[in-house]
Amino acid sequence: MTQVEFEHMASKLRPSMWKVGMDFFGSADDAEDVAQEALVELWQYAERINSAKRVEGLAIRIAKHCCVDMQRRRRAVTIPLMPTHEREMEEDSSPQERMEQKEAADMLQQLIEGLNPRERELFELRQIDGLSNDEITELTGIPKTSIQVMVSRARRKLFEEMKKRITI
Amino acid sequence: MNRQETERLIDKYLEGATSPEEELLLAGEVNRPDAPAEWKVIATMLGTLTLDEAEYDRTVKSEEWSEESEEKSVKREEKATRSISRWKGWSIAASIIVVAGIGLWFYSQQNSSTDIAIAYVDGQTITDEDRVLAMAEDAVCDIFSNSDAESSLYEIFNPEE
Repeated sequence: MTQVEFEHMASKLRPSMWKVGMDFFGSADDAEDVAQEALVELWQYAERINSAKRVEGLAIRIAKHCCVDMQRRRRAVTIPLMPTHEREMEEDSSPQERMEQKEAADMLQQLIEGLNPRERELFELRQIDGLSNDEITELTGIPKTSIQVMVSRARRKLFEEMKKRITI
Repeated sequence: MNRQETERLIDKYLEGATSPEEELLLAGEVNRPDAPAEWKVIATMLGTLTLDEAEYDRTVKSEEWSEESEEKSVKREEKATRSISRWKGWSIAASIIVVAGIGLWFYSQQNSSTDIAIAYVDGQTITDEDRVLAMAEDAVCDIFSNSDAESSLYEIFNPEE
């Protein structure tokens, strides 16, 4: 997808992303920030964008992620000013936990790259695009049962490998 | 969702049979701070977009819920205020009725009390109104016809002497 194509598509997606931000923060300024951030992030997925149907779903998921992420960052700024006991209650996870999550995500990414192309594609259509098996059938033409088998194979491989690496 | 249900959903996820909605539900369970290590692996596999979408939906839903319950509590308060106002109105009306009733009772008592005429003459009690009035008139005439009013009065009030 070229930048011009993306910009054309972005102008159509922006109102949906803005609404996601508005529903979450209840403020037009914050909704504007969410739409802006979500569009920047969506550009990182530009390679994945093939059909219009998938883009809108992905854009909404990214906008929701941006809302939660923005809130998390705001908490990280305000929490140090709070008394220790309140801070412990407010914090979702400690910095160490967040670092571990990041390491686990990087490890998973390496393992995903090791999957065969078909398994990888199907795994990501489920994980990133949030599509159902039916939608993937519609999109790829692969029978639903085959999709389920291939998704299962990919997930089990990743799960077993992740478990091994985490327990070592 | 209890532990068994979560484990069952994890199996379904690994079989590739979960719907996107079930995966959002699973994301909420496996991303808890106290989740076992195996669940954390599932959380990582579900990915940031799914985990954050689950959190977003949960937050928006809880905000809607709190807004709804706030609206309900406002309505309850309004209802209670209306009820108190109605009680106040009834109390005031009841007080007015009680005060008016007491007033009327006293008024009727005063008005309904009949004049009683009693005369004590030579040790006898006379209650016949006409006789008492006639005797009183006689007595007054006697007093004013008698030059010695003082002695007449003395005779009236000290009949035995």
